[in-house]
Amino acid sequence: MMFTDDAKAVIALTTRLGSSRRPSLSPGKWHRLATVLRDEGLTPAAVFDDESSASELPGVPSDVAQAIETLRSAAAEAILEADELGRKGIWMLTIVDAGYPSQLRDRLDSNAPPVLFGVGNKELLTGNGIGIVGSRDVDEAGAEVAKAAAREAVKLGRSVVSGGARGIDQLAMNAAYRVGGSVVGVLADSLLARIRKPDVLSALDGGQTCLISQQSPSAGFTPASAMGRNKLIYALSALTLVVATAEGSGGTWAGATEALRAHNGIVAVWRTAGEGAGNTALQGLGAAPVVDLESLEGLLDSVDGPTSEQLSLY
Amino acid sequence: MDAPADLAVEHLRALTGRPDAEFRPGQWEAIRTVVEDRRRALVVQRTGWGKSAVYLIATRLLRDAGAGPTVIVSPLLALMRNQLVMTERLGLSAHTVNSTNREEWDAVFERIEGDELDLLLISPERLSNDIFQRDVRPHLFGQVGLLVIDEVHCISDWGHDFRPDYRRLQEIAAALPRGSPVLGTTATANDRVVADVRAQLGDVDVYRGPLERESLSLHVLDMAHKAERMAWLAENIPRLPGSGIVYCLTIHDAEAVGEWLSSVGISAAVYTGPTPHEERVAVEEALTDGDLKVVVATSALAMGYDNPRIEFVIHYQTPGSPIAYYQQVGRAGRAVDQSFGVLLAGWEDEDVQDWFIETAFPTEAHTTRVLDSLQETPGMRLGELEEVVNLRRSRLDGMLKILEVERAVYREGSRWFRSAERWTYPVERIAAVTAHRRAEQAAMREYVRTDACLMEFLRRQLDDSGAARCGRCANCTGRQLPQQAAPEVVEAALARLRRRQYLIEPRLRLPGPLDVDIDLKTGRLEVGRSLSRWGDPGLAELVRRGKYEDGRFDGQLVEATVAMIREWAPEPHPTWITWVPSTRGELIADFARSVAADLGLPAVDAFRRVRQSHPQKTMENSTQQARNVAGAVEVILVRDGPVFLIDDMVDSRWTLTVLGAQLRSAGSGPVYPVALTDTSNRGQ
Repeated sequence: MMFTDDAKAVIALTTRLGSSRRPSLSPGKWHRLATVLRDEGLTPAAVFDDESSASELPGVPSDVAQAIETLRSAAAEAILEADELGRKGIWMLTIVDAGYPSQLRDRLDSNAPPVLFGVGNKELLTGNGIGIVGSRDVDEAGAEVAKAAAREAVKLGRSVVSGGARGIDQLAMNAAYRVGGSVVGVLADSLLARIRKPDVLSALDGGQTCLISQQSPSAGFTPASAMGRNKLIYALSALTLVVATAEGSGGTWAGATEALRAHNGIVAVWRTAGEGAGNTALQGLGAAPVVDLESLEGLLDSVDGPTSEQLSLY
Repeated sequence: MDAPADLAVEHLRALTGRPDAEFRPGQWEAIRTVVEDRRRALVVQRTGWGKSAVYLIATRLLRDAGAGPTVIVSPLLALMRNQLVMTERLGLSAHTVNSTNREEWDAVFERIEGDELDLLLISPERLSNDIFQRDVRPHLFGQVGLLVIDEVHCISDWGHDFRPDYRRLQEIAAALPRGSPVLGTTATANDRVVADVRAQLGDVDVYRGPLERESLSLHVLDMAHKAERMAWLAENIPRLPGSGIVYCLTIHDAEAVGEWLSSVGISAAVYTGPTPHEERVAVEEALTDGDLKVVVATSALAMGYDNPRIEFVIHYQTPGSPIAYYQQVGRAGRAVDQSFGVLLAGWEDEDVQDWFIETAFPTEAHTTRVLDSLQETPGMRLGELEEVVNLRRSRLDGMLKILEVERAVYREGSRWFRSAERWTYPVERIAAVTAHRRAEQAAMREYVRTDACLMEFLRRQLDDSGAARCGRCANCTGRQLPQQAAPEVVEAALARLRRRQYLIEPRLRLPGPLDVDIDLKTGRLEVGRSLSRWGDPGLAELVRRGKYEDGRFDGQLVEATVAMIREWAPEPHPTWITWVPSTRGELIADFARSVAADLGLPAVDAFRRVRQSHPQKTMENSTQQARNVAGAVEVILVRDGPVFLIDDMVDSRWTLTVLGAQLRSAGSGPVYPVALTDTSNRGQ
């Protein structure tokens, strides 16, 4: 992989690639540093230069300054590990790259992940997909809704964005894939292990699949990583349909209420057969009710309006 | 000159021990590029120009300016040893890290951590080594002050020496922080290779000098037959002053020529890919000390040896490209007044070159098979892959290495995985590289024929803008070397080729479960003999004609086989003879009966074919070959004494191995395999 100097700076500062003991900056800390640098008329690569003394700029917190100090020797190692990942087919998009989904920057602001790890077709990260989420334990009716919603997304020329977990996530992704649609899977953990699976490898074959994660590809599951994953699904989707959720607890509930609070994309909620115990409450918090999958089209039109891309399509 | 330049000249004088030494054009400029501008430089200069002075002095200056240590990546072990001596003259502390000094690594890393080491020399293979990746790299590339890539043309897949390990260097160079200088050096690169290196290393300043060798006189002799060339070597090497190198295209040829030269009283040693490290060192030293007249080598010696006192370089066969030829012949005449570069062009050269060109890339069908298998079953081992792909292990190995560089597969320990990157077979790229190699082959054909100045021809091929008539080659002076050898010497060489015996070593292990129940612990073959090697003139040619044209084997082959067996006289001596039943005709049975009659032994038709098998030559690896033959024949008649088992061709040895074991379990004594020709390792 060829990285720009700016991208190298992002990777070295915000990931633990190359050495797990190295300090790494959270998205928020990174954002602060980037802001300071921008105000000085500098780009991230300035942290490599002795002359610019990025670590001594006013407004740079001491732990950030410390990370910068150790950067020169850490950067090459981090990039070499990034190359190792590249050898396995894992690419990286940093927040300073042209291909980084701008929607993440716009919607998540200082919480936007500085680095995305991924495999497959990164062109699918356009932001016009339909998110389909729901709890792991889903009844027959809910499962049918998830699959039908995925097929509807494909019919509308949208990719399906989901979390790759058991239940709703996988049902939706598989249904879209089966009818030739494109799929964006947002993983909470273990990207490396995922690409050792024959079905995952074959799903990558036609260029219709993209898997991404903001976690280091070898990192395991944590509740925090699941929360981060949810945030990414909402942020990457034009609209996210919550098929079924419990009320007041669980990952789906937490993710949906957080998205509503943060105005992270459009949250829609299924309101008829197949819905979960918390769906009513979610509507109460502002989620748009959906009782008929064909109404998704109108809902999408109302949220993103006729974009130039759509004009060229129709 | 400015102050740093003056300082650099002082270092040069210390390094060379000459108080009046001055830089050659380009040396200081290259040093300045890496030291003052902290940029990347590519130095293309002939061997002996002083590339090492550039990076040693640059290291001294960089270290004095507080930079991290220099890392030199070089495939030249000999160079490494020389360098360690030179570094002391500049007060630089240097160390190598290689496979032979694993126990010193930790101490070396500690010195790097403590900033006590100025120079670290490593071989490119280290870069792909697991331990190195895990233990060394983290200490190294974060703080490197200068990265030197020796023989940098190996990074170019247009180059004849492309090495997958060098691709890691491209990654390392790309990963280094801003302001980390990189210096690539080579003696052999044309415009195309320079452009390719540029593409891989990024923006580099190129310092390129003339490739003239003032003392070298080039000659070309067209001599079709191997025996003629062997005879010519025997007659002319003793007449040439000093010591030199004879280059062959294949390991087998190098061994045959080396043996022949020794047999006529010339002190010769053989140096090829399989030559172990210690032996290489010993050969290099013997040549340097004048204890050897000649080293017979393959291209394994091309980059591994740096002796300024070589007085002749003779090619027994034509290399595939002008770059390769220049690189090898350029070993001559560095520190001597007069030297010779002689190309003996033979009839088989193009066939061997073709083989190298055609097998340079794995086929699309084979790669697809491997990738599909790895997709279905992630984590397969080499042996498991061998079972599903019909490829011999060395080729499979080579394919995986290429696919690894291409990022289509990756390895963890001994397990292979398909990458998540969707790789497609690069049809166009392969076609382009193959066309390029064909053009290089054509250029060598032209070199053999041209009336123009030979050195000028080579320099033009290397895009040397200063190419001009040398005034020393055979075409410039009109002075030719002897065109042929005395007939009796040619005859002796021919006899040697005919007599050359080849051992058939027993296979010791089955590649996996087979349909028949055989045991190689109790049923293994004895060491056998093959009468000839496929592709040789002489007997091998008779075998080819007998099998493919005449439908019977010439009486000479019977005589030669009987003579070979008499001379060999294995103990306990066989009391009967049998043969591998042919799928068509009685060719081998007739032959075996004639040999048996001459030896006075009974010929016994021991086998019966029970099912068709495919020709073994269409099976490419052990598992496939052993399975193909197992159960195809059964023993119907056996005697209890030791036996000769005769076949016309031996390649993988699986046919002889399986049938031999069947004979043993049916009650025969030890089985001695005999073959008319050995077709294994074609083109190696």
